[in-house]
Amino acid sequence: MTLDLRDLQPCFEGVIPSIVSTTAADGTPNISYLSHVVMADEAHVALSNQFFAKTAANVRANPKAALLLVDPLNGMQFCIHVTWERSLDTGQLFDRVAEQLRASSAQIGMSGIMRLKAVDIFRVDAVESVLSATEPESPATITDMPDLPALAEISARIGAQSEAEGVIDALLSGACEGLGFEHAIVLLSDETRNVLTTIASRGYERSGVGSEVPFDEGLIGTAATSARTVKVNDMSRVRRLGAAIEASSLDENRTRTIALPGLPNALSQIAVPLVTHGEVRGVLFIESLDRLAFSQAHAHALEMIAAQAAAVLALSEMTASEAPESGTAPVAAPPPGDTIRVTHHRFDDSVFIDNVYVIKGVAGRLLMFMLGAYLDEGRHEFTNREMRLSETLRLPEIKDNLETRLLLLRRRLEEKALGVRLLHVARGRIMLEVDGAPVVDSDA
Amino acid sequence: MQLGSELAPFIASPVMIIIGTRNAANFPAIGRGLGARALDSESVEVMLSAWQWPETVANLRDNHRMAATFARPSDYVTYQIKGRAELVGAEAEDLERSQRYCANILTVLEGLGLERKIVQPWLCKRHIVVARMKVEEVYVQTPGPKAGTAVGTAK
Repeated sequence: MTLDLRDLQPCFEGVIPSIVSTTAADGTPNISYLSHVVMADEAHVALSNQFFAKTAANVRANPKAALLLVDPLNGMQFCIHVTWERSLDTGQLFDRVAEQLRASSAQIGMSGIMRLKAVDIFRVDAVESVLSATEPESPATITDMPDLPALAEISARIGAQSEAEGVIDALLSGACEGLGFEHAIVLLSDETRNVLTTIASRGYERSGVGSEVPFDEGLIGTAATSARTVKVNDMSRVRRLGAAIEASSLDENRTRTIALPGLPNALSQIAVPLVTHGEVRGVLFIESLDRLAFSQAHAHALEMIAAQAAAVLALSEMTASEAPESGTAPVAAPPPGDTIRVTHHRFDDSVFIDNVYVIKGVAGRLLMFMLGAYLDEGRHEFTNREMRLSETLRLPEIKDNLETRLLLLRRRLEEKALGVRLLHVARGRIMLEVDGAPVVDSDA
Repeated sequence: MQLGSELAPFIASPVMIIIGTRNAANFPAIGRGLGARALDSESVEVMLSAWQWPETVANLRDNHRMAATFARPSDYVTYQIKGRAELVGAEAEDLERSQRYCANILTVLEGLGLERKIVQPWLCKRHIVVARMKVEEVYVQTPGPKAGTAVGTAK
């Protein structure tokens, strides 16, 4: 049987180490394990070989090399005969290999050591399967392919949304109910503070809305800064090296930091950037308890729905800011009930309600703006347009993501149930509801 | 060249063993070893399946050039030994050693979370032969800044 590189897809997941053998000009063989083999196209593979100068020197003297790849699903082995063609230290393929390497290295706590200098590109001459005395137990296919009709339906549902909330919900349910995953998070970029903020999640004990991941940290940060999908399909190596990050039990009232939701025993993770107009608006992150949960086909499917969501999100921001003015602001009735103590720390715009941490950053500023107008003018209805134009808000001009920040604030208030809520009235319009008499201390 | 007192017990412990050879046209080939031991201070023996790795065996018969890398799965401590090898038939004692190696490495890999069904195809015990290698070069190959460093060269 003639084998094709594409038949070997699971072997490229980096779960079982690959092996490379070369020979020096004098015929002395050399053999070593490889950190990464990447399928460059149907006829080429790319090897990253940071440490073993001997392999790199050998192929320049004698371009013939042999690779041994292992199917991580059943242990079957494949020998690939290759010929070295060239070395790359820039370009799209180099970047793809570098990002994948950086992501998985960060996961095993070796990010500093594993910096990629160059990749070697080899032409594939022949692919052979190695004899096995035992029958493989499972077919050599990774988890089922996502089917196109399901994908089309998810895409159509996302496209039908006119507001940010609907887009994010359609994206999450598409990834979960549509493609069969159970644990997913959507985070949105905040360029003003170089972080990604959780806007919604599925399948976790805590929603983690408002939790943040710095750009460039871990899989999520790498996907955001590189605008590329990154995945790890065997997290057990991570745990073996003791680099797993424990599910955090941070006291958010003290640290003003909300913990990211997470599966402590996840075996596979994938982070897909939400890109539109070449800009990363956020990241869709999914994890699974299964090893090898994310095939290349899954990655492509997720990239398609993520791109669709990013485009519709951008459009919803535009239409929300064009929504009409609210007209004469109704005067709120004097609020019944108890005093609600609101504390605002100006240095990071963090807001506490009755000593419970709510949010910080732009979302915190938005909440204070609305509470101020509520107290000073008795207003409780607001439009995106007025907030965007407000000078006191100092909204960052670089990105149009007011709509999603308001959604973040609304969800966080809902979750904390502190007597202050935001209600969605119509496109580009929201209402502030307060169950008591707010007293603001805006300086501490 | 001398193997050193640390390396002898290391190669005989449950470590992953991979073998590099080449044919007359200088095309490289890969095989897996199923157990090894230091015969004396200057030579090692590596067992392998001639049925599963016919190219490796043919290359060793042809030109005797061999490289073998020994890697400990738990911490990636790795050494590569190069030299010239003669193929000899396996004695009962060798077969027993190879069996023991297979059982031990399976336990180690299972302990690291690899399923038995994944490891089984690598542990093919059909037609075991012994490659007896005279050691010429030894290299540290543990991932990190010291990778590729020679431990010593032949006199």
